[in-house]
Amino acid sequence: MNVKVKLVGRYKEITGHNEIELTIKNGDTIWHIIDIFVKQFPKIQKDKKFIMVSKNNIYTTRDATITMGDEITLSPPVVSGG
Amino acid sequence: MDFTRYKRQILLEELGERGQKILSQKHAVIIGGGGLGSNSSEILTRMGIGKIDIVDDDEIELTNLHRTSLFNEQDIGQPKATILEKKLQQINSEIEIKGFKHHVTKDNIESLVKKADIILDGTDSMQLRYLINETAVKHDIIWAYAGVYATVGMVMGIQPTKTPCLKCIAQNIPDKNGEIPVLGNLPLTIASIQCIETLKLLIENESSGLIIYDIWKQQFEQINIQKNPTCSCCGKKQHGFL
Repeated sequence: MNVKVKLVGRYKEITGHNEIELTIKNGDTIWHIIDIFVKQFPKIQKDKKFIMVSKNNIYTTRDATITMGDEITLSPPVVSGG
Repeated sequence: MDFTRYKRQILLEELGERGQKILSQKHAVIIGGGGLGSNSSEILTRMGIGKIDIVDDDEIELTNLHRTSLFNEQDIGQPKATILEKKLQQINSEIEIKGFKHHVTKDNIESLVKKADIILDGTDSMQLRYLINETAVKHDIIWAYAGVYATVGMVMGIQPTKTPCLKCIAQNIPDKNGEIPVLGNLPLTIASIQCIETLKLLIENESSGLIIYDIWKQQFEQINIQKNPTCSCCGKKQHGFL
């Protein structure tokens, strides 16, 4: 199935899109989304462990499963300087 | 109480005399007195928050001067907390300001924030932010996360019983490796946004979600998110940092 993934911040600039479409299997998890995303856009590799992911407007853990119609958003990691 | 100095602020529909009176009765604890904390403490001092505590263990260094207007070359080597208390009290003698030269740890954080109406994040450590988050959730204290990196800043007002907490949005957070790049006026800009969130939390009991601002690209994003019911911190009440 195809899932629409909204992008936030510099991910828009890196990918050239506000939203992308990824192909996954029903029941795949957020891990799969991140894996595919990072493979398509290797510049994001260093963020891989820290990408913030929301599913239907709730930030979620990597093991959450994706079903048809879910709205996924990928945001760059929280910044830590003071 | 004489609100003359706040006359122009009271004219704001969003504040009014009612809002100003609320601010005058509030106690803010700012953890960290560097780029973010020094700027947010100055803004809140000028805005008239009744009581402000600033907690920071560091001394002022030459490399701090590019991102705050409160410190100058004569202050180098002095404790940030002491200098902030002194200078902020000169700006507004009608409020109570205390600087604490303390290293914030799991052993003292609860005593430092137990009387706070709000905690402001001015730290540069993600470990400490998790500790603040857990303390705020445990004691139901509102807090305002803020962070900067290069030209990007993030802010999120957190109401533990109502909004997502920091752990809801980020289970894994990269800590800094060495010194991070920061554009000089970014902390002031982000501290200013953080202080607006502080006012909204204190006066309206509302927050704006996660705010991401890239000051170089002049791109502002506001992400409205919901609480994660399975969050280990605010959902399951697991407090591994405390």
